[in-house]
Amino acid sequence: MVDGDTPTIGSGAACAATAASARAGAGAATAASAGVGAGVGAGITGQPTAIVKPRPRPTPTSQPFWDALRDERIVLQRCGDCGSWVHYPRSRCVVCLSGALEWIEVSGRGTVHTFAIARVPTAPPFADEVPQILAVVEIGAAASAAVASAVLAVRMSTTLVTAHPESITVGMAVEPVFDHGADGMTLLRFRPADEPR
Amino acid sequence: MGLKGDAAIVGIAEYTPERRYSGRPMFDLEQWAELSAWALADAGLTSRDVNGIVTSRIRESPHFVPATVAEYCGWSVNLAENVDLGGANSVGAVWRAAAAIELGLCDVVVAAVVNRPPPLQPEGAVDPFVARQYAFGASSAEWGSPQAEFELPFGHIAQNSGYAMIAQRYGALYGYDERAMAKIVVDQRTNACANPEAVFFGKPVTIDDVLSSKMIADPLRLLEIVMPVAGGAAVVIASREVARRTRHRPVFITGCGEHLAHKTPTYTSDMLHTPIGPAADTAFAMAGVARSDVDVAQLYDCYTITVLLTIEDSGFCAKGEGMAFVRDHDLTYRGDFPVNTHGGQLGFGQAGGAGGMSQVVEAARQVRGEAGVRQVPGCDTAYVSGTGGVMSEQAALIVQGG
Repeated sequence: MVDGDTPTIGSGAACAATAASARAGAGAATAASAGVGAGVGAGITGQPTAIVKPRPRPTPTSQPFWDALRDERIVLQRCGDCGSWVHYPRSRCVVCLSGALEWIEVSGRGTVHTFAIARVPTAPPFADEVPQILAVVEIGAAASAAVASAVLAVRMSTTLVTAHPESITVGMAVEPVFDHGADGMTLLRFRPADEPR
Repeated sequence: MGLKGDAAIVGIAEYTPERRYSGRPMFDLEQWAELSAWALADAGLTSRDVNGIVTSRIRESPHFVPATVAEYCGWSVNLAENVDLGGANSVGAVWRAAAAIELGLCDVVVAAVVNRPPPLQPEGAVDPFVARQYAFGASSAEWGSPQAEFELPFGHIAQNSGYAMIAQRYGALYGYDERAMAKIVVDQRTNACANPEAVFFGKPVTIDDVLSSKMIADPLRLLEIVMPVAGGAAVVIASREVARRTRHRPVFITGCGEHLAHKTPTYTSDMLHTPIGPAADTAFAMAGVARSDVDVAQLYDCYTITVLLTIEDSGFCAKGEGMAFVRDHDLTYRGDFPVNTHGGQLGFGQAGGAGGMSQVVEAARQVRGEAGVRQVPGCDTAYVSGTGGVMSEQAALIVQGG
């Protein structure tokens, strides 16, 4: 059913109801997919359209996060009741569901929690970024917490900007890179802290 | 607490997986009807016996799925359940059916997951719903979806890179033996070569073949990733009383568990302690079965790293010892720890969301003693795991011969 719809986009999949294939070419598991395969770049009108990268669309809750990035500042939510840090932005604390979240500016320095180097685009719009250096970055916070169960670090999905992907390691120190887009949105990427600019 | 073990898988049916589908395109509803007819015939039951269904999303009607399926197949049901657990749908469906039967709500339940291609729409257009839903793999692109806002813009899309990141962190903390990872593929391919239904029947591979296949997302290579196929499967679950008048050895569902805490592994507390851990602990305790009692393990295997972590977190070895376990054990149907005796999804093929049902069906086949040349002698107890998303939703089953 779903496999054949999009043989090249969303490469991989496997464990979801929507398994698409990393095996470009071989991925067309089904006869019908030959016809629907063009759906990779099809807009919701059903007509082929230019492939565009998905961009963030802020919500009323997340707007302060994106506004700060445009000014090259990083703000994260912290719970006024339990002291936990929260990311992505939410309406209530992910640890205690308190609504007393406040925005706090942080440095954005962190460490690589893990990473993957995608040699095949994770989706066709990202073909120009291959090899994609996808990463999870952890930003710790020194602030003391009100309760022992508070979460004092947040993780975020991002990409790493470096000329030396082979040198990336888990635990490596990274610092923020503000990637300003033509659409007015700024994406928070990271670079190795010790790499010469 | 838990299941008493009074419900059993009594009927099974499965489409032969195909990389290039050669048959007539079929709507999901048509596949439901066909597979159900076959599974009921296998059990020796009739369509009139059905009084429960467990469904998952179907192409023709993403909402009101149970009503749509029941109406199409002519069933009047007391259990109308729909599960939404990705690759864990199959295991999740089976335990829900067993629980409902033990509650006395129903006594014959059909659960199917289908993945054959549909007819092309007459106008040749891409269905707008399909185009939008599948544009980004299993990720939601809707406004307000955390994935749409914080994952997709960075290219964190679909499964390959997510599983690769988990494997990368595993290597950093516990070490990484790429030959052991490749051996998972090789052993399962050996099983596929004993299963004429498998897409890789007659195509054995070596560790070096796996290591020389294309790197997709470091450290995962092409042959460590499932092959998408057309396919599908259905099972019939019935009460102990009904099982007495069916045609095969009943395969009783004696333990189950389920766990999840994230959609994207970035936000889970520890991506190396996977949800199958608590699910397996619940299932084994419920069944009163020890890990050493397991005759065959049918482990959801979208990627090699999934198998490795499932071996560890299901309790077959300690955390960090999975690579050594794989090196030290023969995972083939002839071996001392048979895993995925039908070839697994890596060797049998992955029929999309239906892939996990192949593992349920193979567990039943092994306990029934009908697995042919790949039959594990004296197989009475099978462990089955299901995995959805990026190691997010996971579920476990223990099934045993009666």
